[in-house]
Amino acid sequence: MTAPRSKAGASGFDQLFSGRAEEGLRVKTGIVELDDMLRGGFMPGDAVMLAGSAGTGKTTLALQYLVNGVKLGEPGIYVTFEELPDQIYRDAKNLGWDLRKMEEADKFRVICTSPNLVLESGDDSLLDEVLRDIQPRRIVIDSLSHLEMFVKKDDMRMEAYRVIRYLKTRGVSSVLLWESPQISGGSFSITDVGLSFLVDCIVALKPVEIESSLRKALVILKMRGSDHDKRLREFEITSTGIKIESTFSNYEGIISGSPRKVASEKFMELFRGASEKHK
Amino acid sequence: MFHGEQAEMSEQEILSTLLASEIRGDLLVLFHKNPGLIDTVDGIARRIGRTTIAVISDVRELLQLGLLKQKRIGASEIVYLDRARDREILESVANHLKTVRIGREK
Amino acid sequence: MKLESWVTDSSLLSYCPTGQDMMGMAIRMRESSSTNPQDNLEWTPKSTGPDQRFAAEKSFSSVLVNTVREAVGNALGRNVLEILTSKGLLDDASNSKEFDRKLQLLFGNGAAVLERIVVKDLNRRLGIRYDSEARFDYGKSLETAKEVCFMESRLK
Repeated sequence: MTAPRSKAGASGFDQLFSGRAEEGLRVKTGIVELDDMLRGGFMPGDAVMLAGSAGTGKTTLALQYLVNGVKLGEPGIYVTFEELPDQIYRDAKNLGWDLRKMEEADKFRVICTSPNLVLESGDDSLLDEVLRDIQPRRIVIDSLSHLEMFVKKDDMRMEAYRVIRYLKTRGVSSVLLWESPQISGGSFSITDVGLSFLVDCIVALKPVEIESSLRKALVILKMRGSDHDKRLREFEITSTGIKIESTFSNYEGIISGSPRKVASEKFMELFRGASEKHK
Repeated sequence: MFHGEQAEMSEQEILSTLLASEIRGDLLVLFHKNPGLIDTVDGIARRIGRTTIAVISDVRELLQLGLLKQKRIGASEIVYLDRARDREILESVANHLKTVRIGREK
Repeated sequence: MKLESWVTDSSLLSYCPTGQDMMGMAIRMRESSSTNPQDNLEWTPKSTGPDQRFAAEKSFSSVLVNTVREAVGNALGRNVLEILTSKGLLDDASNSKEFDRKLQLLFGNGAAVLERIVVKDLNRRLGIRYDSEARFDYGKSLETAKEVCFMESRLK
């Protein structure tokens, strides 16, 4: 069976088996600091897991990735399993992104469906239908967690693998959202069904409490075949989307859920306090 | 379930078909707000707070009009909006309404 | 306290509540939201001055026009909405009789379907339960919505 050729020229099949794609063909997120962290962007055709608890900005980041893709001439599809997805249009509009206009120009699609339909197999799958429409280069699945509700726990890895493999063989760069209850403790297991090994890259979003205020942290936990920034960066959801700020260089233990100032920073504070007293 | 046929209809007939019932109106709003909706009739009924039995005849009428299309995916029959046909239909409705006089017009 | 938590109580809900019913609802809402044990439960609503009434009417009118715009746009698309706007339909949104007359001329029996779409959306915005089984009267639906809007503004 020959896999269909992607618009990039190289078939997804080739990419799968002939090694990693060239650095120059990175899939940019369009968020400058994040692309720097990724050393240029995601690798073409990669399956990226975007994991985080509720409210951490997964949907915003995923939409921004697609919208920026459209600006770069890469059509995108947002697949959602929400009951009333018209909120996505409204939320995007609040961030300055007119998704309906992009749909009219056949550059974007918001596909709302039920998880069980995505899992249906047969001669013609729902994803076949969806990809045929605008031949996207990028796709977001919101979310794998919804799919989990429709399959037995033991079957989740297999079903996720089927979806991921399907998208890879069609040369589509995918971002798969995963709602994780927490990312903390000694283990960096993102999902409790072992999906981490199926994906090529994992970007984790985490709320952190620092000095009694809630802030947001982003970290690239894994990126197959490429170097990446291993530091935690703070990020904000602004009126125009995700903005990545500086690293949490003054703190440690953020992932473990017990952030504390690093020793040198503590010493500097004490020193400043002491010198203030003696003035 | 049903294979859509686009019989020749006048603009008036198209409009009457679109607004024939409250459920028909709910379906129009649902698919226009979510043009990428792809679901079974059961799923569609659930999304507008109705039962499958309540919506099936209205869905059939919209399939017959060509506004909706259906397809088999695995063991399921799914229904989705035909965007091109939707544009055509709404244009014909707009054309018809332009000709209707209601008194004071800007 | 959210408006819908008492309005959805079926024992309270009458599709066309009388003025007395509306006052009762307002008092119950006030009582249930009170956290001060010292509160005098013989509460009377604030009297509405003409300025406040005018402001409330204007606010409701704005909500209604936006609702009509969205409802018609969602049902029949932006082109149809533009045509209806040019025919002055939105100008008559607050005048239910004139609005209904124009819709009947334009859509015939379909007018009632559009009116239901408007009322459903309006009720959702104001937290009023919509009953599709009840006998539908567009004018009365607007009056109910208007009174709920006014009560909210009086209780603020």
